[in-house]
Amino acid sequence: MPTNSNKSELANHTLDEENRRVFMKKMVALFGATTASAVLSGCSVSATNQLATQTDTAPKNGKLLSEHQMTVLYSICETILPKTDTPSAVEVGCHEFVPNQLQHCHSQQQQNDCIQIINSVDRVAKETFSMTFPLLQPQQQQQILLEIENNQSAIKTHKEHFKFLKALIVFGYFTSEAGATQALNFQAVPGGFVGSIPADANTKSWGSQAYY
Amino acid sequence: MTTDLYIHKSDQVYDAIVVGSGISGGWAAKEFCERGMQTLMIERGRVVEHRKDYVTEGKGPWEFANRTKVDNLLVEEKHSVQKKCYAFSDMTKHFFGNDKDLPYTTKEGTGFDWIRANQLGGKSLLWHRQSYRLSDFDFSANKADGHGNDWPIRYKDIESWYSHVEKFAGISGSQENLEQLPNSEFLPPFEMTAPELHVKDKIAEHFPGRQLIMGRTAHLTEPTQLHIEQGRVTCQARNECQKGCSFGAYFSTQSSTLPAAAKTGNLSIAPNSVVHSLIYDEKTQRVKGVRVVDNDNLSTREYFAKVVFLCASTLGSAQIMLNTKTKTFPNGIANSSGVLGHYLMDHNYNAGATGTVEGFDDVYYSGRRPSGILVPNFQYKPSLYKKGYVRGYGLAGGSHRDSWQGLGYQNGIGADFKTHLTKPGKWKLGLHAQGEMLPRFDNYMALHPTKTDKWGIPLIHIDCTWSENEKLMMADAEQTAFDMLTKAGLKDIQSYNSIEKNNPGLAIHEVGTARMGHDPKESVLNGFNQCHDVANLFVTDGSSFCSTAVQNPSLTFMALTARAVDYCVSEMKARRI
Repeated sequence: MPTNSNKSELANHTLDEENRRVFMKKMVALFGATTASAVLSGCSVSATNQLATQTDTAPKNGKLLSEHQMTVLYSICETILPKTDTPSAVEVGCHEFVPNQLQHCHSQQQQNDCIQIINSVDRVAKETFSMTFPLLQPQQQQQILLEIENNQSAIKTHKEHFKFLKALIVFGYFTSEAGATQALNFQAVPGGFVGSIPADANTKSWGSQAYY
Repeated sequence: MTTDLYIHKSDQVYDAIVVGSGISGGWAAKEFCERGMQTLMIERGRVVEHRKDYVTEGKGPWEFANRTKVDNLLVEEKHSVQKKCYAFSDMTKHFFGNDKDLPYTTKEGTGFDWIRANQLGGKSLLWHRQSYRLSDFDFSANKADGHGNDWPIRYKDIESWYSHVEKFAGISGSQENLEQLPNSEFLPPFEMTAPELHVKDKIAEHFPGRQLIMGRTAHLTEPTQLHIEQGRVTCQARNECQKGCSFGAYFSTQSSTLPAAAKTGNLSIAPNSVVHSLIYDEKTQRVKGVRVVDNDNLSTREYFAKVVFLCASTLGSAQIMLNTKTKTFPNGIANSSGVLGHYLMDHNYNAGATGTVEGFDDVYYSGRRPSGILVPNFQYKPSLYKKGYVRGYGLAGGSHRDSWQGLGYQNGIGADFKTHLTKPGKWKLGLHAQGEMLPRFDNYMALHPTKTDKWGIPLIHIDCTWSENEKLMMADAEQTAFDMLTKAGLKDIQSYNSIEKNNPGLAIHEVGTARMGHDPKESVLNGFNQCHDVANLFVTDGSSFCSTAVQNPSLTFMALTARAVDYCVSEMKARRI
């Protein structure tokens, strides 16, 4: 565990508590308070870590992802497109969009690739920081994903699967109402076509496309 | 539109029956009705009312369950062929055919992608709207190089009819005075983007004889009184045309020809009526009407008229004719030549190149242009043919600034990446070949010997493949597009040639199954789209083409149809029909 090795007990404890709160928040958002507190009740972070791993079993009720995979995906969404002056990917529901879209509009192979890369992200997190991905600090999460994208992760992963998942999250974000109309400039009825208008560094892309 | 427009059963002998309600059928109905003829338009599918039935119009992607993508199960069950069309999505799928109900077969080892739009308005609701005249080089191409039969008409025969349909439909474009692509009656053209203007200059500089022009499209850039009377207004540049357009800004049966026909009071429409075959009177040697199977409950009925116009699509019209077997015509009505169903062609859209235009960071565009740029065919006569193959191709294209759709695959995680995705990226510009396909007897459709569809009509069986000429042309087009973009200064140019991957059919420009000709022994129709063998039977859709040329064919369907109706009515008045 390269980054935690020289931390004091107290620092570790503080980090654990903070992560626990963050994780709790995510679990509540994802599965509701009951499941979240059942997972976390009386647990230290390491126990949570273990529990989280244990929940990584076959998904239930015809769902594509297990609860733990959902928490990892949730954190991946938040890391790739975080909240800025516009909503984050999670705020527009990308973590729910991705499994739904995979199940309805993508091949079995693509579904498997995405499950695999979600698992890989978590494995790399554990290998690198000895902690499940959702519990890492934002900059650690960003580091993990950048390493995967640049083929530099601690264990071998499939960069192209990650790229596919990332593109799907991006698609989900910019086809959401907030993504299309707040992050981008949406023209429902442009009123006509103008071949050249001035543009500068602040110009936003059009959020309205003929085809997606 | 009044409800008594639609009929179910009728004993009336109409002046004219028009089978089909797409671009050709709409024009036939309008021209007949405006000449005072009692006209019955027969449509195999459901009624689609202008505005009211454009159920997805104006909806954002977030309003669709899968953000405009179509559910796998639905695609697999109902749209295994239709899904290949560029315009097929959750926003437009209700205007595409149900492949499960509309099977056809292809020869083993071959394929043909048949895009269907069986509803009132047909493919006029879904078309790409690019509108070009054929030139005399196109009408004389077969004669000049010996492939196919000679078109029985020349440009002068159809010129005034092009003008007639263009003024009414509304075609935007620029006067270019090109001998291979005659001017139309134009509304103002759409604008080019700055990189397009740049590439236009570069092509003019490096490639004499090649021009980059603005695409010509059936959109009202500036409606005339004629269009306002149809209830149509200026194009708003949404480029979501295939959802249907309540502005009536693009030409469709619903926006244009149907209201004009209905206004005369001479139009009736029989929807949900699948034409099984034609009723032929051996004694008078005329068709009397059509046999229809109800689309929904499969009951049968008949409709009668003095003349019948088949406008049921290139494959559809030929299917009806082949399925009309009589004592005189055991192999299909008006098929004494034996060419009915043969010489099936499509356009060849299988090569091109795209690259990055550097600079122009300080300009963008506003609106979504429902058209593109075009390099008209520059190999339009034998003296301009390349070595190794005959005929030519145009290059159609467009430009845009990269958006999240492309940028999403770039490296990056986090807030900066997110911001990057919201900014217009580099300019991309592409040119894509629209190649001519040669007429060949071996490319044909026939009726399946045993299989029938749910209406009891024999399935269409297709054997249609690309020939060596088409393959050589695409190999050359790929290189040419690459060279032109290179000379124009583009970077990161990617070229492609997909002819080995793609079946004919996907250009949705299928033509040629009941070709025109001087000689009744080698053609089905005369120069007025009238059957050589049956004087009161006309076919005015793509079936009648002798060659594909490179131009999008719909404008020529319109002009041929209007001309054929004019001829037919004068023949009726002279009591020759």
